[in-house]
Amino acid sequence: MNMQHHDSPGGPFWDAIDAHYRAVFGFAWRMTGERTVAEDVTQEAFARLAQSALRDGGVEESRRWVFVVARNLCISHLRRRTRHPETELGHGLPARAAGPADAMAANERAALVQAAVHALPVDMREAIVLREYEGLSYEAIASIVDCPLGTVKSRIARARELLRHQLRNVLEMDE
Amino acid sequence: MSWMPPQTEEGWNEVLSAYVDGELSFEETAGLEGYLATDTVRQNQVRELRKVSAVMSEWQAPDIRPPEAVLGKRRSTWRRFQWGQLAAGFAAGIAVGLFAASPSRDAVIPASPPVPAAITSSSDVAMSRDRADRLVRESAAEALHGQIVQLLADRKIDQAEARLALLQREYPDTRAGGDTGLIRMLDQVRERVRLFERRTG
Repeated sequence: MNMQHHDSPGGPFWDAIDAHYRAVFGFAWRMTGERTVAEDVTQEAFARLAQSALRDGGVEESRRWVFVVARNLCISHLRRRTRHPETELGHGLPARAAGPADAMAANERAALVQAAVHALPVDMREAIVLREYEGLSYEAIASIVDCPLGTVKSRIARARELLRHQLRNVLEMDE
Repeated sequence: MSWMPPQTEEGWNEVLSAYVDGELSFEETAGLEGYLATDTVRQNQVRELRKVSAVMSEWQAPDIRPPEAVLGKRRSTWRRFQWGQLAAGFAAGIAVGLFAASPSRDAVIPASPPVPAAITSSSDVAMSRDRADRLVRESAAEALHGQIVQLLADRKIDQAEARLALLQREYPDTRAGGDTGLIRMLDQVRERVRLFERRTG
């Protein structure tokens, strides 16, 4: 067990946790679509981790815990937003943009993916985002979203099926 | 026990999705791959699922740098960081106030984009495939609509115009795709920016 204490600067525990910061931000950003909210959620989740004795459980348990906190904060925000809609929505960044024409096409594709993912029900969205963008196993996802493994499997499959339909024009472009 | 093919389409979706994720056991994988060698329809389905993953990877999150003070090892700087944030927020507030005072943005940009279709749980789409697709399609169009409103609020007119063309091309049959108010809003913002630029030289 990793017993690195928070008062030991630069230890392997915090170096490993540093590496998860972007992953948690990416998850929160894709869940909410709002950069400032995602930044707040991530900072809050890591600040709570810093104050928690739980970090003594090691890197893996801390990663799971920080994702659980971030997920709960995102869901609270999404519920509030349903009641009080706000204006800010994030803009997706295209992964590849060789020239101006490519950049425009890539931007369009990224925008369509973003819209399709945001259109998914929240429980499907969180499962597919954790799988596709954070590369987590079904077991890890089940422990974060607190549901049986079979439910995660089913949500990911249904999310992919809906995305396949929504993105069929983009998929056909690649044929 | 030998591997048995799923009996329903939903069962197939789950098995093939878990297969592309590498989540099947060794025995299940061997059984499925033996079956796939004889079924081109399912082979194509696997190919499609992999293409969905590839297309999804084109949507990248913005890069961010973890704030130094967030991590426990630098907790001594946490308070200073919070005050720094407060000061930065105050400065940004002044800047926004100054900008907002110029081309009267509130007159053009509505307070909020249309509320996305209320899909909160997968039980909402536990209905016919067509209806589920329709709901998600409407919601995706609303999400694009929201992006356009935000781009206009940021005065990114060219990008807003390009995304509006995309919305109209991809989702012409949706409520958001048929919203002519967006075109009017685009024209108004363009006109106000033009007047503002003329006034400020």
